[in-house]
Amino acid sequence: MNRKQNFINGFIKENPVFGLYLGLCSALAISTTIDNAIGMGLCVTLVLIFSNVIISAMRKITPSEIRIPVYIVVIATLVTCAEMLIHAFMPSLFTSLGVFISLIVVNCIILGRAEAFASKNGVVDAALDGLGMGLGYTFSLLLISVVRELLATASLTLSNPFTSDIIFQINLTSLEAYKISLFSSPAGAFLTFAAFSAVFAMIKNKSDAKEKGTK
Amino acid sequence: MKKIITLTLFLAITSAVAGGILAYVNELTAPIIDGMAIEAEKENLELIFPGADFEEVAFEDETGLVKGAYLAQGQGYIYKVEVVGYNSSSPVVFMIAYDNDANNVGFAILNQQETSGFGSRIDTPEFIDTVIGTTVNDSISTLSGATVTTKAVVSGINAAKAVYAIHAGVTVDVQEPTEPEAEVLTLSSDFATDAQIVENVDGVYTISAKGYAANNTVVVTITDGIVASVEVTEFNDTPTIGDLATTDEYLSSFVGKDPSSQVDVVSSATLTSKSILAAVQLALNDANGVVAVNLGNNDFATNKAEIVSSDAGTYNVLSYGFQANNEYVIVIENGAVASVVCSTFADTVGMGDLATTDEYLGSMTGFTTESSFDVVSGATMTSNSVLAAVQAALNAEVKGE
Repeated sequence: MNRKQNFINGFIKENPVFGLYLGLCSALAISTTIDNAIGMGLCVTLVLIFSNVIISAMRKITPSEIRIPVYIVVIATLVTCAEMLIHAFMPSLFTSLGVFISLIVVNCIILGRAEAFASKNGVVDAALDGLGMGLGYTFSLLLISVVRELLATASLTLSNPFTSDIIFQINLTSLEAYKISLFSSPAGAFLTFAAFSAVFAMIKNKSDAKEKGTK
Repeated sequence: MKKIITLTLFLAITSAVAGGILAYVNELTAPIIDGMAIEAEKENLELIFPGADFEEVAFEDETGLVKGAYLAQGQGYIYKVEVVGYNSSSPVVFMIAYDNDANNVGFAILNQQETSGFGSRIDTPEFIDTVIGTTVNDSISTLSGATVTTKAVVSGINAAKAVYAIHAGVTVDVQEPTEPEAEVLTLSSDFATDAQIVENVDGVYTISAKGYAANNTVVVTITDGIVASVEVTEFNDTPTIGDLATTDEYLSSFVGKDPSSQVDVVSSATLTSKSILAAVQLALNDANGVVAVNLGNNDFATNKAEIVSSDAGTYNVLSYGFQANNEYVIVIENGAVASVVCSTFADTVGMGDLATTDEYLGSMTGFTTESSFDVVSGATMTSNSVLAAVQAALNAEVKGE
């Protein structure tokens, strides 16, 4: 039950982007298309799971004075590996994400979860937390990017990152005339982000009030 | 003390393990990434050596302009070069290839966003054909009006030649770009530049003339029909390029010039120098009472030009001069004058024929109904008859009259 709660928390109540406001820099910058959002999200999820597992496994032998540098070394290694693998096997994703792949190193979600959760919990819990948080992050990116891609281009395209083949495509030709190119620029990212944050805050307030009521 | 050693050791071991993992992953992915680089470039390489086997080769380049070097098996070397021309926000990228005998066998521009009609000429046969077929020891000429861009491209080609010399094991005598001879124009020619007199105080003309980017303000002083001084009071073109044409040396070269004088156009600053030429021309014309009249609208009623016969753009026109009808053969191509010949001259010999010289008639080549013209003083009636004939032929051709 507790594990399930931890996992689900990552989506709504402790959603890293809309609930905790972590990792906004990359979230706003790359959420222009759903391809980017899914690629970035899964990449962060994998790095997060591995870093949580490794840090959790090392938590008993890591001297607390130097735990932050150790976390950074672990995270940086994982991110660099991920970057090289993406470059080699998903070149189109590599070009569209560009510098933001290497910037995963400084994504506060990863260091935050390492410090707040993985360093105090067992390996399995840490892995689940990483998966939950990572999917929560992916979910948030996907929400922003669906809105942005639809409003900015009046179409949605999902392609296979390994081969660049298009998996599915929706073209809303009737909305072609009402495209808002603002949404492909950072300003559109902020607008979308603010709207979603408000909705998430509302859900959170309601469930908090309910919990208080039952107590 | 012991604590510090333990901490340092722990961090060192962690880093060492991390380094090991990174090295392993790098070894795994590096060949794939390199392979993709060739694959991505293959389309461009095929432009020059279709169907060849390519291999990336290592190179050293002091200038930093050469971005890639590829060996086409058995055919030669290809270099990818990136240089900054006039547009500093988008470099010119091109491929250049030399075969095993040091001959240039390929030159292709991959990307250029230089000024349309000027720097963009590097991507036309006008420039490309001067590069292909040269040997590594040949010098390549720059294009007048596109000097900045072509100079940059030639410096890139020279960098590629230096790299080729090492690869092919030959000595290369790298030549600086040759500049085309300075363009010399008569002050009465058409500079196709907008110039307007802002103010005229006793022969001191303040003129606003369009240069490359914006209008420059030129103050021209005319004394007794010739230029006494030229000064640029407001310069709005590109610094360090256009201002080559605003040096004291260049401006003082106008002193003493009259409308028939010849002047140089400054290479690399063609547009700015033409703005100054147009300003000087305007001031001279105004001071000398030459009124530039639009050919299409001017009324040559007294000349009674009449088309006698026409055949596919060639017009025989009778036009009344000083005392009789002169006959002209005028060829019009694409709405502009291709040639004017005076076939029968009936005006005063020694006077009217000043307006039927090859030079004067030749000056009408390229005239359209929008062109303005000069009248030859001393032969006004005859030159009007020429102009009337040209006008009639142009109108007939353009309007189908």
